Amino acid sequence: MAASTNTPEQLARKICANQGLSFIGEVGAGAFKKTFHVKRNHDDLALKLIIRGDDKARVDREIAALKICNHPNICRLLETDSIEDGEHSVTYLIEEFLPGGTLSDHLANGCLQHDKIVLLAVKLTEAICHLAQQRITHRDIKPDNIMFRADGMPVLVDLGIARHLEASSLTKTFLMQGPGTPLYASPEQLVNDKNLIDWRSDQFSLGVTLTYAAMGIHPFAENTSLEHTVERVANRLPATDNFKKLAHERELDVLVKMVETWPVKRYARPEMLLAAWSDNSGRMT
Amino acid sequence: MIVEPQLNQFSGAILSPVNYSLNDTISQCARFRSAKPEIDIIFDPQLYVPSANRGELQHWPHKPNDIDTADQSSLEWWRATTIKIIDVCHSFKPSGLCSPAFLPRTFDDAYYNLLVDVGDVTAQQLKEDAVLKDVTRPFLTALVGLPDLGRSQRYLQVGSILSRYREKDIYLVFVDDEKPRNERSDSGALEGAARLIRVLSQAGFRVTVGFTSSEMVLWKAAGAANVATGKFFNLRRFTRGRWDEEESSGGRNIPYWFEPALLAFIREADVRRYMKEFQIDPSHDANPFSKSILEKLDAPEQKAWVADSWRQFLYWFAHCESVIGNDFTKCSGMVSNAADTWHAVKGAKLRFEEERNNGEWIRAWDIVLSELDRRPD
Repeated sequence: MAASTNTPEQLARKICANQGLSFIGEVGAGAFKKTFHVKRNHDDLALKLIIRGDDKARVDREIAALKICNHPNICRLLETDSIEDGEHSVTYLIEEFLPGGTLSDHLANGCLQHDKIVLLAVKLTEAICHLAQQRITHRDIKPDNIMFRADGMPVLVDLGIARHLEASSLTKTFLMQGPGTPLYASPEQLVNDKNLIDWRSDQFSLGVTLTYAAMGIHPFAENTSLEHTVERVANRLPATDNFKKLAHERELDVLVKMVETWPVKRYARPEMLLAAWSDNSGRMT
Repeated sequence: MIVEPQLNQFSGAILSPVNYSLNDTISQCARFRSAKPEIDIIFDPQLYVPSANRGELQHWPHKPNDIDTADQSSLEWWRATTIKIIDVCHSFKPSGLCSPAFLPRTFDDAYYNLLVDVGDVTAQQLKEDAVLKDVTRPFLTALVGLPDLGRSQRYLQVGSILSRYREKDIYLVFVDDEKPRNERSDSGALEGAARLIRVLSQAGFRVTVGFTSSEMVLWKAAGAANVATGKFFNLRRFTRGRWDEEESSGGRNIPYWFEPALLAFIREADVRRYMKEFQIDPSHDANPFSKSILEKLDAPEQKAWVADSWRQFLYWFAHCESVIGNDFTKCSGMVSNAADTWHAVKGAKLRFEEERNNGEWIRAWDIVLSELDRRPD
């Protein structure tokens, strides 16, 4: 692949000039894209520039998934287009701007209180319900992919490896997406058992994410080795007794069912999971 | 039969197009509903074995002309087939419709996935059907290879796939090659099957197990909402050879006494020998067909009792299901009682006519229930 002519920031500035946007600055970078804060009139927007053009399929999937989603807890895609960069065409997305940072940012200050966990769980479960209705699995739910609006409302972002269940399967597993991600993945994702990957895989990842947010631990971690923890999940060994004890003490028993290693033992339908959080605030009946 | 006054404990019937024509089915439904308005009539389109002689099914409009040559792994082919099935249901409006399914060479994950996809398609088409949307509830037909369930954690894999189904009712049929008159005795496979029922039931599905015999006590213990049986042995077991069995009479002609104390089907001579040394099960007192059989056995002239024998079992089956419900202790007690009776029979050196009637399956069933009780899924 030939080198780009412009830096991502230069490209972002060009897009802003073409689209009548004001460039504010860079706000984040990932393995595949750079995100810039821009403005249209007084509205804050996020301009996401796809900097790894070799993974067009991933970008197309994100765009396709975002286009069919319309939910307050899923990041809103406003426009998508491409800009020429020398011999290449660079895809960009204009999305709502989420000024509240990521869940990872919030957790840097410590674990969340029970009421915040329940609110987060309900809102993100509603988002997962919406995805499941569209037969979409996010497949990469983790603290970095949960952001907040100015009013504190959580929003699920980065549907880059989302899979529409009726579309053809991905050829790459999420394991190739970057460091850290496997820690939140379900056993079926870790062993790439495509027959078992569905919305319940998202339920597992959300369960691990919420556990981390509430207790600062991974449900399967026996020690500090991330590899050991991922291996335990992949081998479907049980969640630790410590996790189960803490979940019970903190009235977050729902988490125990969410991170069952076999999908059949998790909540069978999105509405059941939602009811478990909404009706009992985390306690299981 | 199930609307006969003495067999009215059955809550419903699973209709098959193999034994009855469409017109017969329409009149049958009218008769059922007239005798028992609340009856649950479920239609199984029975497209399981393409190459078999399917009796009346050949003449039903839903049978695809290309069934013997079609690519049955194609969801599109099944989508077209379910449209025909739903059309044919307009004429008798069943309260339940089983999604069509085929019998695979191997029960692999791809097969189970396709079953769920076909189940979801059937359910979606039913919801969109102006005539049936509020009348007929969808069932996911799941033919599950029984021997395969003996593999460690296989029930969790199969259960995880089947539980992707978006509706509530699952029609579960265990397939094996055990001859219909032989009791199932592979404790590992039976335990896997029972655990599959349990995890699906606990996940919120209403599991109806089809083609069952007295081993239904295991399925009820595991949480099955309903169990279904039939008057012939080949309706109490789903094997690849069941259609051949049907041609060679499927157990229509030999009368068997069902003895609940043994959980066994025994022959006429066995009944006479057994009754000389043992008390028959007290549940026979309420079973009008047991009484009728005993009267015939006592009569000076030989009287045929094969029709009574079908009804005797059906009566026991319906009553037993209503008594045990999903009470694990009652199911377990029934099997323990049978184990004790068999122990006594062996102690008395009593032998039954058929070699298979040795009670060994009871040990396997006892192990299954003990494992279910002792070890969570």
